[in-house]
Amino acid sequence: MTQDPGTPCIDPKVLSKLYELQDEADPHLVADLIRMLFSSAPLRISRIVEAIGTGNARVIERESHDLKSSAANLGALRMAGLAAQLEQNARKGDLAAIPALVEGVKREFELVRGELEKSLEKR
Amino acid sequence: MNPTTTHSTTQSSPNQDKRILILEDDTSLKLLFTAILRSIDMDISFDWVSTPERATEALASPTHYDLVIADYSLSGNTTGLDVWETACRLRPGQPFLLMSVIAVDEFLKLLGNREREYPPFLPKPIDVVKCRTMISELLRRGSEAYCMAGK
Repeated sequence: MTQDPGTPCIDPKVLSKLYELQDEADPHLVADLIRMLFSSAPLRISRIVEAIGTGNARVIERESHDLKSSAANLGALRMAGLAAQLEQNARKGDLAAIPALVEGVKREFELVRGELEKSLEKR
Repeated sequence: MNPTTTHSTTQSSPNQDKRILILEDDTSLKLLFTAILRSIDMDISFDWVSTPERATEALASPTHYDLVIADYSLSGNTTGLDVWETACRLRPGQPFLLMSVIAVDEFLKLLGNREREYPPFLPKPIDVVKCRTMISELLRRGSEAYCMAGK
């Protein structure tokens, strides 16, 4: 999962489809998905950092995979792309670049959090 | 441990008693699938399993599934494609939908010599509109949809 340099922090098309589904099926869907990302992403990032310390590539791969999925579902495609790179590196056992990638994921998650909070406030 | 079952019933509808088996190890998708299936029809129920082993147990059980949805990338060495092969063996004609973050051309490469027959494919991240359309169509067509992507 790679992105063009101009990829927005949050793809508005993804969010708008989710809001459409929310109106039809579940009045709190988007807020619930966002809260789920807000609570799970920091935990997953912590587990990745811990796994870097122990050299456990399997855990890094697993947590990055789930992080990628949760982020992509909300249109956070840059964050999903970084998580995908983490996952690929862990799968190959190439742990050297992982600390820098984790820092990138952390920074991107803060941007994603800000954008999604704004999106919730607008509703 | 039984698969997690979600069910809701309203007035009679074309999808009354329709049941889906979902194999996905990313539990964050459960909320999304619940909403997608509700938006198709409140009467659709689903069993959620997180491992290929649990999916195989469900497929070997007497429970009827109108559709099986499986992620390609699972923990361990088993893929969703392996689960599809199990489904074909245990339940010939079982409608199946495979989803994955891998690109369609990569998916075709993975199929190797099986390209004449393979399950419909839903790319990830999930586009809710596309997902809803594919699930609705597969439920409507039933076993006729079994090999539709391979023809």
